[in-house]
Amino acid sequence: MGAVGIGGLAIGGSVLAACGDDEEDASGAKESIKAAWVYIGPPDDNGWTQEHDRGRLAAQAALGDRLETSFVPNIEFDAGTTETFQQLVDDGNDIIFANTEYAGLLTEVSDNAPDTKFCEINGHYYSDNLFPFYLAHETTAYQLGVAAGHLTENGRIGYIGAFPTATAFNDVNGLLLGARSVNPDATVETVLVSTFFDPQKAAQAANALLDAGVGFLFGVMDEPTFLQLSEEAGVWTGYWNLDFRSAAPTKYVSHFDLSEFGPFYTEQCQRVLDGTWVSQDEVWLLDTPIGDFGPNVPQDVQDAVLDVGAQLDSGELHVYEGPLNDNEGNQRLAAGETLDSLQAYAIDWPVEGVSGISPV
Amino acid sequence: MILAIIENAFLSLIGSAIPASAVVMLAATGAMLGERVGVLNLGQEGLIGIGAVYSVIAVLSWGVESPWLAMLIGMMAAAVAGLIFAVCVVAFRASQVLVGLALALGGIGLSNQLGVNRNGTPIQTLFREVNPGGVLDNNDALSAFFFHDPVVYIAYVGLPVVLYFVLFRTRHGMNMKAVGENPAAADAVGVSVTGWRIFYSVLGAALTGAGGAYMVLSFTPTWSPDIARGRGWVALAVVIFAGWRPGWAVAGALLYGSMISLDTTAQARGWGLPFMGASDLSFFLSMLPYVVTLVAILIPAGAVKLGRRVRSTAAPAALAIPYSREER
Repeated sequence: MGAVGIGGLAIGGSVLAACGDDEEDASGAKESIKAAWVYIGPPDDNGWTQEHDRGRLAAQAALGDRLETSFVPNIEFDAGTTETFQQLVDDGNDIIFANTEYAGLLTEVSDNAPDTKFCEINGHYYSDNLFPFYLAHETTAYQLGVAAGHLTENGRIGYIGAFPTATAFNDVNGLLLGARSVNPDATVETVLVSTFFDPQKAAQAANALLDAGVGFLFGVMDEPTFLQLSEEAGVWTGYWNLDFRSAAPTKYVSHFDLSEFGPFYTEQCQRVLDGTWVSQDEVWLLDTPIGDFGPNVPQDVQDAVLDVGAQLDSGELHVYEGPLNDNEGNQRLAAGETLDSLQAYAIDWPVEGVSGISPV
Repeated sequence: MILAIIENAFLSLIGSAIPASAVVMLAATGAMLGERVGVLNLGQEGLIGIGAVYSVIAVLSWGVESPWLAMLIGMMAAAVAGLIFAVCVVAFRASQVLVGLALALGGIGLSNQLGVNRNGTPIQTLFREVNPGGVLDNNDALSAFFFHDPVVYIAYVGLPVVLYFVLFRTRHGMNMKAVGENPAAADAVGVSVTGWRIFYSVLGAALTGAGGAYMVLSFTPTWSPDIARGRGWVALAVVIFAGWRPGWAVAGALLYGSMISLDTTAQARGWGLPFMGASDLSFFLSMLPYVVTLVAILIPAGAVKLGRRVRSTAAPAALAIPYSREER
């Protein structure tokens, strides 16, 4: 269905910027540049893509006339995606950001466009003009897990995932280990729906988990349907992307704060302007603090979560600290071993206590 | 013990399958109405989108506070699209397949465009489940079938019963079938083939639109692009599986719905297959509804192949064939 998605190109920013486009001095610095964003969903999804678009607008506001931005929404995984990237290169964009991992659909273009810079979220490909960026969210999941451990009596956490990738593993592992730090019997029950954006599937997964009796429901969905269903069922819930307490006014716990996209996009565009942009050889991880708490989260729970957050920040506490087994009983970390965020970015196993998802 | 587990599994599946495939049921009934009078409307996918997006607009932009009224608005929008389709294929005798495909793609595109700025916004105007209370409370076996919202009962019980009665027990139904089987004969006895075909195409489109409206007014209370996501095509398959009989459409829709529910229910309840890891299982299960749909439409086809052609499982003889009085 991707082919019939909205292919409109929205142009933001100043028209004046187009004038000084390719003037480049000896140092490689430019008077003005064009940047484009390729979005998996619509920029008004009240979720993932909306946060990226806020980041785009923040970069636009910071760099003013020197930056001309545009975006293409609803780009799914098909041959048309490659065409979209090629079109953006041909349109003279200096840097292109992708808000999902398009992998080969993107690199086919980036490898043949050495003068254009690319940043791909959650990507796994590195070249002279492309590097991945992502969020260090296992710590945020851990904090949410601590909250869930305090708030639920049965310690049962439901998780709606998309695919069995590091994103899902870091979510479920963080939730479980955080919850177990409070309640040693805590579990995480996972349903994978093979999509980030399909409210019908998300609703069915949410209903299945709520019917099964979970006490806290979280997910990596790009839209807030499951929050509404949690609220109706009287079950605590949280959100990945932004503050969405309006969907669950009384049962809202917190969210992952993604407001680092704006500073990241601004910095990358600034580097292109200055002629100092260089590719990276490891993923660029953004801080992902936990967001504001919902109105009914008790103060002592909030304090406990923030305290854990401070310990994680200072390095006093680690999300992944051995001994740890995966959920098939194999030891993955020996006593005393830890994983940092860069290592967690490559994780491919769920910890013991997580069900519904298996090691890759 | 084993029996209790199976019963429990079956009930939890059916309990979530019923609302999940109400949209398929409504669209299948809509498609069947048109096909009974010889009009094949492949545009179900687009009609679901149009019905859904206009219900969303009614609630979010026009301040409609009744889910019934919002659904009616969605139905009327789909009916307008159905009227355009019907005029093209019945009055102008354009190819039903091509115009239907255009309606499918155009309807998806139109509804996505109209849905811009409404994505993900929660809808508060919802159908509420009927609570019969009394003995039905706390009864697992019965609660799977009750405690749904009223549209579910209209889709699974009301419409099939009415349609069965009209089709098989009234003169009007005989005429309908005549228009679909042998329009020249119907024409000869004074039935307006053009009029009937247009009327039932529009009514069918409105019912499919009701399916789309139901999605956003109950099942998933929010708009999202490409909302039908294949349910319109499944509805067309259900009509074939059902052999154009309303009662069998209920079975077909529930079969599909159970497979959809199995995807999430099996994962949430930890039902697994011994040779498949939990992650692989999720991919396998999301494929299952479409495999089962494919197998289901092969059953009537297979019966025909084996020479067991039952009259009532065959497609209306004049399906998708434009009627022209001059050419009869």
